[in-house]
Amino acid sequence: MQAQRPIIGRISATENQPTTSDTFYFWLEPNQIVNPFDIVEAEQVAPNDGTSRTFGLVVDLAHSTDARTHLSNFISSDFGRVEVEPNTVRQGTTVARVAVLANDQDIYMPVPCDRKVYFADEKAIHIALGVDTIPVMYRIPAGVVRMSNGEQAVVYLDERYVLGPEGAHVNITGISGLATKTSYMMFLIQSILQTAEKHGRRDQIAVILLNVKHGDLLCIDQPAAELPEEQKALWEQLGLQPKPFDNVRYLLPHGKDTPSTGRPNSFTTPENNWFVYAYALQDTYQKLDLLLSQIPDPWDTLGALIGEISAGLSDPRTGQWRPSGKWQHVHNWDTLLNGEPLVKDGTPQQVGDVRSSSVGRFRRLLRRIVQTRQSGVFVDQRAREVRSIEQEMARIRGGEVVVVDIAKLTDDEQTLVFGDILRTLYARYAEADESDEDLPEKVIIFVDELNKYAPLREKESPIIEQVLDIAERGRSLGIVLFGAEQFMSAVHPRVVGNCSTRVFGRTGSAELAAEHYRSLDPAIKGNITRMGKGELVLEHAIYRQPVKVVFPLPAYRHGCG
Amino acid sequence: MQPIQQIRDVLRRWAQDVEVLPAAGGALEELLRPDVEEYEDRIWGTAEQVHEIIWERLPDGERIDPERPYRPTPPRYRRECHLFRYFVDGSVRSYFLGTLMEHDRDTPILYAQIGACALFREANGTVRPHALETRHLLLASQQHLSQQAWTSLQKLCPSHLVELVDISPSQASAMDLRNRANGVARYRMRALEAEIMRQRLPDLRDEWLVMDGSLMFEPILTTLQQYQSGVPPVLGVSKNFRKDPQFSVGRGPRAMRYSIYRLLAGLPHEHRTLAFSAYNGQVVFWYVRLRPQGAMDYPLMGVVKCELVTPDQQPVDSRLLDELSCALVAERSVSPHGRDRRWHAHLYPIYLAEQAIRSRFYSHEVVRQLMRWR
Repeated sequence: MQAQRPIIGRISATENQPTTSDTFYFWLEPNQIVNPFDIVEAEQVAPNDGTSRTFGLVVDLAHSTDARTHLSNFISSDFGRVEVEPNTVRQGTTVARVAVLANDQDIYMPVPCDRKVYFADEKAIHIALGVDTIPVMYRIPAGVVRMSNGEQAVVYLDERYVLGPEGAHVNITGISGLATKTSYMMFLIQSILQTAEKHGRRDQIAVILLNVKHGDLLCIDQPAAELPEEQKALWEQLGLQPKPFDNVRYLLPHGKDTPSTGRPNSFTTPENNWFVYAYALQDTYQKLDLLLSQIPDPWDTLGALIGEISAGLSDPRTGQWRPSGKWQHVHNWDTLLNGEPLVKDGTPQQVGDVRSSSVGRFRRLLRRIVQTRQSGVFVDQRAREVRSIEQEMARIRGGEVVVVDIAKLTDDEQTLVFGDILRTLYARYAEADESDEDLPEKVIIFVDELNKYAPLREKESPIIEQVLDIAERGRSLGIVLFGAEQFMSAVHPRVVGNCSTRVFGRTGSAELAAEHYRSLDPAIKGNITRMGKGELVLEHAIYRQPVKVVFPLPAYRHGCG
Repeated sequence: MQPIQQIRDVLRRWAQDVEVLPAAGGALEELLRPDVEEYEDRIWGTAEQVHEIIWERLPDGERIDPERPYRPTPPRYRRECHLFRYFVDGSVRSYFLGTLMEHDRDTPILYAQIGACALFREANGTVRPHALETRHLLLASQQHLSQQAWTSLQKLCPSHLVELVDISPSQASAMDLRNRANGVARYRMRALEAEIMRQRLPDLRDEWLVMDGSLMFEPILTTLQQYQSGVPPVLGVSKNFRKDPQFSVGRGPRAMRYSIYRLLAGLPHEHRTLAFSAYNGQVVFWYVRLRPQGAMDYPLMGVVKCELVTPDQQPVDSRLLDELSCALVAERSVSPHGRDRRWHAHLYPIYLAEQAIRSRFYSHEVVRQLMRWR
């Protein structure tokens, strides 16, 4: 079979550019088209005069001629006459630099000069990436590699490195406006769920999606109006069905006019299975730190006061809501902010060791967040049909997809909701025992604009700590974070560092100069700046080099209405 | 085993029977003099010093102007007329290996790699090797060795691998044997060029073959003189040429005499000189300016000498010489500027042919390391 494939070039090793265990070069046959990210195979030595195959990823290509300087070319054109056509074509060749991925006999000798080079076929691509070592039951289709010769190959992620226990978490970065980041995450989640279903494990995985933009994720259980044929073909090529999500529950925020209209504070309202959530003081008093996460608190005075409030409003024996003592009159936001013990006769009071001036600052901040500038999600008392996020997270079941809409919330409110989800799930999984049969084995949390919640900042904050807990310990617990952001450099390095899978959409060169991208070859960075819509570079724990993939558009409807 | 390793083994076996003074540091490359072509043109070229016969037939109505013995030759590119299709060049690289001593006699022994290549240019301007031959030579003087030593070396040298070449002078000569050996190697190289050219010659019709260097050297000249159908379509192009000939243009009191410097200093850009006769009309030659004088360091730069062999010893039609010269001017693009100091007069396909041959040669490092007597 190998002999029938066309030779596309031969290995070139020179004095200045020798082949090594990690890199080889090959010159291309004239008129041969090869692009960065193509996967090639070269003939390599093997014991007993045999032949093995070394696979590599084309990192970059360079064309050189025998002209020593540009001046030589200028002179060759009769001293700069642009209309002159050269009588003889100048000798030149395109040379590809290739990063070694693997050898089928584990031989990592430098590839000798003049060995033949071919395009890799699908089987070879799998060996090259290490996909062949993933047991079939753990293979999650992650996209299609398309090469310059038309060869295509489905690439897979190893579920053990996506959902644990070997590794976990996925992060995607790229400029906005290409409809790539969210689309890819939704495709990947769909792929995970369909794969799990194929192997009878769908009921072991739950998904929580945070809708942060318009109504993007509020109709994911509805089929797309018209999916182009080539997109359907791509889904099928990946061994997946182009279908919307099922078993979806929507949690939508309470708004200022919800009591009168019954409508949530969302851009659009799903057709069914949606519920409104809100935060009364009773749901929030133990999460005030999350609510005030964005507020600088260098001396921890806010933290101390939050501790006083939390202790005062809890039953000391059960830890449940039961204001007592001097806190007994506090039963909603208004009584907390304007009544004793924080205020007396309109004057802030000292609470515990917290001085009255700090109490005054706390009141100003909290009033602004929960009263004057709130979106409507904070209520004095939740109505019977209005849910709390904590309770909803506690009743999440395997196989379920829960969409939590935070698109219309303020930044502080979004932080509270996201932090609440993480804290509740973390506590639930950390304290779970074998008797907790309803708890799904894995829960995936997808959030866009991760940099908002885990920013690169010298000082830690309650929300950063919460995200770090998940990033660092979620793998063993079964909590998996799928994060997206425009600039990875704006995200806490410990969060990104714990991701076993990193995905890059088109990104600007200034961003790519950041420390976070130093593992990428400069030539690959250059390619990332040029990528088109629907193209991604995938870096996975199993792969020896990042690969470029395409993926199908999600098969659900974007926005109801 | 590589041929060079086998040659080394031959020498090592032979060194057991003869006394050898090895070259210091192993094989020592014999560097060619920079103006070797000009030197050979002077030594081996025509003996005529003054060329006064214009060896071309001007079109009807045109007359020779002794004050302006030039004709315009604007470039005629491949796309208009693809005249030159084959380009032949040869190359030689020789190494002094040591001195063989027997009693009071001694002879240098040299190893040479010679090669010749014909490149074919496709219609799209790309080139490919049409023929490429390389040979290995061992050169020594038989006269300076005993019959026993020479025979022993002959027996050791497998004929398919290496050719043992006698460099003994045919008559008493004071010429240094090492220089002679280099000259012999160059002669062998030209013989290889001539062989390649001879094989191609019968099939050349409207296509022309360009040979690097003069056609006045043997065995090239003899091969072309045997051509039966008019002017053989082989153009000799020399980058370097002798600077001592004189030229006389016109007759009677209006005749003008030119030194080559004066002739070429006045040669305008994209023009040729009138063609002159050499070898009693067996060869016609002229000069073409490829590049403007103003862009060169010296007025004689950017000029090539062209030669045609005329077996019928008749003047050549000027229109043919014009056509050849126009096509030659177009060959200035592309140039090997930066790669060869003779770039201003070098034809790029010839440069490529030379590179093709050299890529077949063993590198200096390999020869230096392997060609050791022990």
